[in-house]
Amino acid sequence: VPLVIVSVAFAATVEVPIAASGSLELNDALVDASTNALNVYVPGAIWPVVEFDPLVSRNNVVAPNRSTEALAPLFLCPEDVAEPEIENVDGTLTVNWMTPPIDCSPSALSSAPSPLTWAWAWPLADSENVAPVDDKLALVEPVPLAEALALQGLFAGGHVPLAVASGGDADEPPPHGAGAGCGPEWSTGLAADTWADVKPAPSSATLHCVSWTGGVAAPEAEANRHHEARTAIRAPAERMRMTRDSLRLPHARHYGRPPVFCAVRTSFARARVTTSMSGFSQQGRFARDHRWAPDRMSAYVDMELAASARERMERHIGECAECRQLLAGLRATLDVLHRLPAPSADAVRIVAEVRVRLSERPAIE
Amino acid sequence: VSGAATSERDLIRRARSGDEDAFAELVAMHATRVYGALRRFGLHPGEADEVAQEVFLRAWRGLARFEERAQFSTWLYRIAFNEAQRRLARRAPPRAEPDPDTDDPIASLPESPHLGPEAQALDRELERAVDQALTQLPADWRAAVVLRDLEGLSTEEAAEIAGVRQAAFKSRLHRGRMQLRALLEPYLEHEEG
Repeated sequence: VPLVIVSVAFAATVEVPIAASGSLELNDALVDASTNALNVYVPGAIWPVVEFDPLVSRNNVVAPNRSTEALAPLFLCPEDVAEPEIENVDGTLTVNWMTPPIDCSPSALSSAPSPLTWAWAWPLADSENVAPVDDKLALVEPVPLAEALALQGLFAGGHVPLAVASGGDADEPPPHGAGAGCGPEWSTGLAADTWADVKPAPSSATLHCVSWTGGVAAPEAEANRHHEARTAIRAPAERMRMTRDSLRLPHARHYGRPPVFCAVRTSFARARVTTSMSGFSQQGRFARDHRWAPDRMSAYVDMELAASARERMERHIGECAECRQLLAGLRATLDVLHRLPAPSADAVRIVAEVRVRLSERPAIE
Repeated sequence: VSGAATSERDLIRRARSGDEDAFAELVAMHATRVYGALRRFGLHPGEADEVAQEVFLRAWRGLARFEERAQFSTWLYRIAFNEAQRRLARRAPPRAEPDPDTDDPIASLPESPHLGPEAQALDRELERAVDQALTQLPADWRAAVVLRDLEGLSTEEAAEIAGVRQAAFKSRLHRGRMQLRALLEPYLEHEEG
């Protein structure tokens, strides 16, 4: 079966209006494969807003709540967007993220142990060429690239993937499969062979979490684990529901060509994949931080960055000589400004002139 | 409440009732800061002197509307800022200023002369360099830097005076600072880290 070789970095740009702080729902994404990073800037944005970094994100969910026209919304938990600078910002927001290239060549796939625990993505135009290979691979329905990329990022972060679905009430199973997402605490109790089945699901305010071990459907033997997984994420799901309800942002726009879809599959070969990706991930993180840091340096020196952003800044300053020098220059400039003497004024004369003019003017209104 | 604040509040109360002597004391207390801010906003000495008087006259006329939720000095800054902007707007533009919210400040920087070590200390030459650099900033960026870094106001106060939200103010402040940094680079001596 011919498989598509995917060894590119995908980038997507999402433009959404943003409301206050909390979480964001990104409905549409523009896929631009010409760059390997997603930087989200929006016309009218007055301050660098948020950078969603799936590689370091602690809590995130990609929920397949999509229609034929819209890409899946990407949900970011408050922890992901808690930087103070997004407060008081409205208008539009661009969220960028980057996904590293992953070797999806047939040879790499065939050498991967079963079941797979890694994910990749390729354009929809090519996905029809993808078919199950033994029991190692299972083609799932094409999903928005944004989902797959985020899933990739999560894998790259070394987390165990966990399926997340949207639809129905909290106590009902997801009616149409699951999306994909994971986080350290969400994967509690789940084995590494959990894989994500990404299918469309109807619009709903509730998120469900399900998991399977191998196969296209959840085996009977896994029913208890399935239940445990759902129980484990009940609280986060509730939280997500709240943020979703309050921050639904349905007016995202498409730019350029239509969205590219992709398929997702998983592999047991997580260690191999993550090892090979770690260097790239580090480079990607450095590049993202290098773009992110300069615009936050004023806030940093003013102690106005949130703790997580401050930590990120300090990490980058520690490893980037260019930004270190930039920051030192900024500090030196502020030092000069703070020491600058005030322009001398002839206060006595100003008082005298004001008194004269007061006598010529009407009294207090 | 400090004695000075109590005294100022008392002077404001008396001035509101029409006591010109009390208001003159308020003018004496704040004249230097108002004049200094006006100069730093970009007004020439003569203009700053004239506008400072106008600021206090407007304050006198508007005392009844002054709500003591803010400090009197902050209120004066607000008036001074508005008056300065009005005065600056009347000037013929000496050069095309970049759009403060869209243009890249660093890309439009003029080349700065490289000076020897003797010029790197904070002295009169550096002061002149800072003044000169400030004049090269777009008015909005300059105002942000002046209010926050020279007048020492908080971001909240400065944003209120500038009449923009804090996020916008922060953006202007950051751009202004970074452009100043680039302009003053040859004069600064700093260590990494």
